[in-house]
Amino acid sequence: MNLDDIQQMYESYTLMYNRGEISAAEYKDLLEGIEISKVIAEDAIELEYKEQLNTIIRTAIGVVAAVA
Amino acid sequence: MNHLKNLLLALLLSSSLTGCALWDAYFMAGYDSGEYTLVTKVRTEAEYALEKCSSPTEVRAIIDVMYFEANTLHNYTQHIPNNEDAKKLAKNLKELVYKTRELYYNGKDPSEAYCKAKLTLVAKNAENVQKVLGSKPR
Repeated sequence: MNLDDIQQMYESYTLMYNRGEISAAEYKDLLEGIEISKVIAEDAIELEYKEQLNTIIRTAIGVVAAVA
Repeated sequence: MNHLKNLLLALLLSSSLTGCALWDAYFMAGYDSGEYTLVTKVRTEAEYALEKCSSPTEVRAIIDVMYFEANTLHNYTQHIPNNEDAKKLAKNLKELVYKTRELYYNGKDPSEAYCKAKLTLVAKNAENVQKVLGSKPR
């Protein structure tokens, strides 16, 4: 899930609320859920970046070790 | 050999990383099947509960189990060294499930529309977390 998905969810929840399909309390809970999702998405990107960096470092060390 | 050393140095410098970021990445906690199993359970339970949205009683029972699993995941990640990122993800996933559970125990049964929207959100977030936990270095 990326930040575009989160934007789409916000629009979808607002539409549901305006149509009366969900209550104010449910709408509030879904919006709070979006806030948490945003933090999860950002933290996931950070961990993914670290994983890629780990691969680069280990590959580079492997190459140098093989040649040395 | 010198060429390779220069290449490695250039690679690291060009990415404008601090020594701390390199250290964190190099020593980060590796893939853990316990973590991966628990987040997979949370996702599967959310997807299963989605099929039961017409019955709040059944959803409530599944959410209880889901919250237990999310809480276990958070506790599991807590004392693994160099695992701060996984811990943060687990904490927020637990929070998302906790808030859903709270609404289900607030007296009035939540609507089917809310159930579908919220459980889709939980499932997608669990999948997101599953993806990165599954990609941790072996």
